[in-house]
Amino acid sequence: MDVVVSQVSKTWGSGTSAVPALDQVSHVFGSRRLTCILGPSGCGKSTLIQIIGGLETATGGHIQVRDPARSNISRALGADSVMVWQNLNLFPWRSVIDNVAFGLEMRGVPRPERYRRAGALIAAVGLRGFEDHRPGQLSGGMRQRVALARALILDRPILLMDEPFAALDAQTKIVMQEELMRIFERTHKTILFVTHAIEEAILLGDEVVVMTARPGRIKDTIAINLPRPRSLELVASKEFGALFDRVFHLIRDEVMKAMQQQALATVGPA
Amino acid sequence: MKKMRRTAARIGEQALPALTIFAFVLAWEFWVRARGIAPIYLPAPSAIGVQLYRMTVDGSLPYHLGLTLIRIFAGFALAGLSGILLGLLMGMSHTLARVADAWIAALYPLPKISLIPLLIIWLGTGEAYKIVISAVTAFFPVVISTYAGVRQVDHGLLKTAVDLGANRRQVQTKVVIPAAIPSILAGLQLGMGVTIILVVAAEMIGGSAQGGIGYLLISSSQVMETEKVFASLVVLAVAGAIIIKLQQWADRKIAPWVFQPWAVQVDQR
Amino acid sequence: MRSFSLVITSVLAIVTFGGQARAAEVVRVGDGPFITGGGYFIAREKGYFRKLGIEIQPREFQDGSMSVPAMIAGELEFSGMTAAASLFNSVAKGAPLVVVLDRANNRPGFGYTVINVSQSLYDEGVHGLADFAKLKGKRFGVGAVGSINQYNLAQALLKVSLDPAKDVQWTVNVPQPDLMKMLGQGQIDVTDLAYQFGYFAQNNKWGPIIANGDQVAPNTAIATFAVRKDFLQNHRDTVIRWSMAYLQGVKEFNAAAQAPDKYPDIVEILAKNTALNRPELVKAIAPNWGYLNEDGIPPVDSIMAMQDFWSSKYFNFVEKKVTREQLFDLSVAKEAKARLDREKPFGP
Repeated sequence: MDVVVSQVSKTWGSGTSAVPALDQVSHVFGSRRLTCILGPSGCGKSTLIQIIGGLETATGGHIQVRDPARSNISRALGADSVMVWQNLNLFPWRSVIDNVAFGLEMRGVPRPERYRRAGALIAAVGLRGFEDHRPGQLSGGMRQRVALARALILDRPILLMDEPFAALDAQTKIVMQEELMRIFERTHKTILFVTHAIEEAILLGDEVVVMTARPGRIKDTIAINLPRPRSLELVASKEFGALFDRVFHLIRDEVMKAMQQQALATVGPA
Repeated sequence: MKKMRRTAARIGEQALPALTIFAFVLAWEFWVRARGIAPIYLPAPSAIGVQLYRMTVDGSLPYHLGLTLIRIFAGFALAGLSGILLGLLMGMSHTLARVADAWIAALYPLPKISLIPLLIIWLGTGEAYKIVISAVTAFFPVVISTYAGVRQVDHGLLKTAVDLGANRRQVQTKVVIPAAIPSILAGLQLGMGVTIILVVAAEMIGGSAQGGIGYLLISSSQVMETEKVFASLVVLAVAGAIIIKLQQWADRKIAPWVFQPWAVQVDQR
Repeated sequence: MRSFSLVITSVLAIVTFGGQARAAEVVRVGDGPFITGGGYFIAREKGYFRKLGIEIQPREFQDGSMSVPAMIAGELEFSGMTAAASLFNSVAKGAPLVVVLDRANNRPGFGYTVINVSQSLYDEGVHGLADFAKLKGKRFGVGAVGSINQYNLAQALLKVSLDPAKDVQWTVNVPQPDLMKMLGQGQIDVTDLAYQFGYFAQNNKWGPIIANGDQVAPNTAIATFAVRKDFLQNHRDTVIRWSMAYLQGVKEFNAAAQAPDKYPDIVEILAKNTALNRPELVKAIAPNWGYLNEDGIPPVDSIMAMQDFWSSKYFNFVEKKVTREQLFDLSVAKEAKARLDREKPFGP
């Protein structure tokens, strides 16, 4: 389903200490497509995706979903989306399998059933054998995969990802990007992927939405018509280079503006 | 050869605290003898040791220590259960938190030892006042730490739980409480220390009829049996250390994710 | 010639009176608000110490026993010391002090410590020492462990062939005012108190007095004065003079105990310096102020008997006994009494 964002605004605080984070953001995120949201730090992209996921409130505007075949009927998001967080938010006291099965446990699925399904997913992301480990005993990349499995097990149509690979080292990042593309090709969920890395946005996305510095607005949208399935070699191609230049030009001024804003030591959540 | 050296090093590390204590005791013994210090000022460790032996053999030490330990555990159990319960309830109800917080802020700084004579008037000189005073004092660090633990739960974890479909009750039981456990355990550690202190103080201050280490301390002090005073102090120190160590071991079992360092950095593709 | 003798007289005057104009010696004395210190209070308030060239620096301890550690630490020269197990243990363990003067004993007629029982026990027929046999298993409350109070109660039990350690329950470490209340509230059954507390308890119907210490253990010591050994060694003359002034106070104390109305100034001094506070109360308990031996000699035999008891099988509070010579220096009292009688510095 399409995710329809209409005139979404967000202001933190009020009165003299009010900080505007988002300013009338509108966009339709296409059903069954992987859309990357690209912007400099502080531009409000994290806030936007949390608002879409229903985990933050907007000060103005609304979010809806609609069936692309019947685009006149839309409704609010219920439990259609699931989030993969920047800092993962794994439950440190739970084992890997209990983390992954969490959503099913909340739904009341009995243990043998949910352990079976979690176990399958754990094996699918390559962590077979680590079911009883705790997150504290795993490496960064392994924890990342637990977070992914935990999100995927609920089989919701919309996957929201907030800079999930930002903290990984270059090689693990590549592995995870390939993993994500494989998952996308297999399931064709509607994926919204927030990032500040231009290369990543172009490599992964069907579309790149470029945001301005704070207060965040949509500056432009660039369609990425590279063929799927995609692989890393694409990065060296001419088409990729051209796309990179376009996006880079769009975002460069915004990055400068964002750096200035930070130099002025303003307050605001990322 | 290397393995032998490593094992020797590990044994050395374990034995180090014991060795320092042993060296200290030797130095003390030597000092007292060489300077001819009268026992009224500072008894020699050997004299204290003799007292310890006698008090163990005639059964008085195990008896009094047993009494004190029972009171400590009773007071601690009372404080722990009530403190954790109130702390969790405060975390779940904003109104309750505001009301309780005012009382806690007012009562926490009062030196509870000064309440002992009052408690004796109300509860008599039996077991009740000793257990009550230690429970009341230990209650505060427990409730404060529990409440803080609940309030300081990472918001990200709460949002994640909601995102994954948890309802309000599930968030409280499946996320808030486990996340608050490290803080609760810290509060219990503080509470135990305070319980021990107050039980012994209550045994010393109130009319000592029912024994305990505090009773041993005050009665041997009143007759100037300095060796017995020191012997009682040694027993108290050792008992306290063992209790705290046991508690730390229990903490590691209850919340291994907090008290264990990041273990093996297994790297898998 | 006249000018020459004038000069001589002046020089002599300066030499003799100059000696007295020299700063008086400071002696630090530790004590508590107890009437047993009456001889000392009287001598101090009436200037007897000052007259003999001694300036008293008093330090009051609400809990009398706390003055002993202060003396051992070197902060006091003289201290009151109760006749208790702590006295023997302190000296046995090397405390650098020695007992030199009497500070009250239970001479018949002047007994200062009394035994009270609860009203209900009295109603059941416990009226005197002979009825102590009925007290098996009862709760006995005392202040300090090994105190004269505990000693008296133990002696009373021994007289009726009860085992003082095993045949009763002891509640210890309760201050005497609280003991009174506990008696009234039924938390203890028997106690031994200073006279004014026993009297107070009786008047408030918390429990009547059934015996006096002078019946249980006649002439037994209640308290003594001890002095630091090094001070006695280096300033013996000061110690003697202190004792002389004290003994003068003792004489007046005993006289007033027998006829308090004739000595309102003494009664006033005692009221002001003790927990009794009001002169009426001081008069009301006379002559039960305890007796102060006018020769200053402490009741050595009774004290040694006390040590034997505390080191016996019943309580075993004293593990290592000390000898008379270690505990007492009786030469001080003897010399002070002789000089007092000879020199009469305070009049006949």
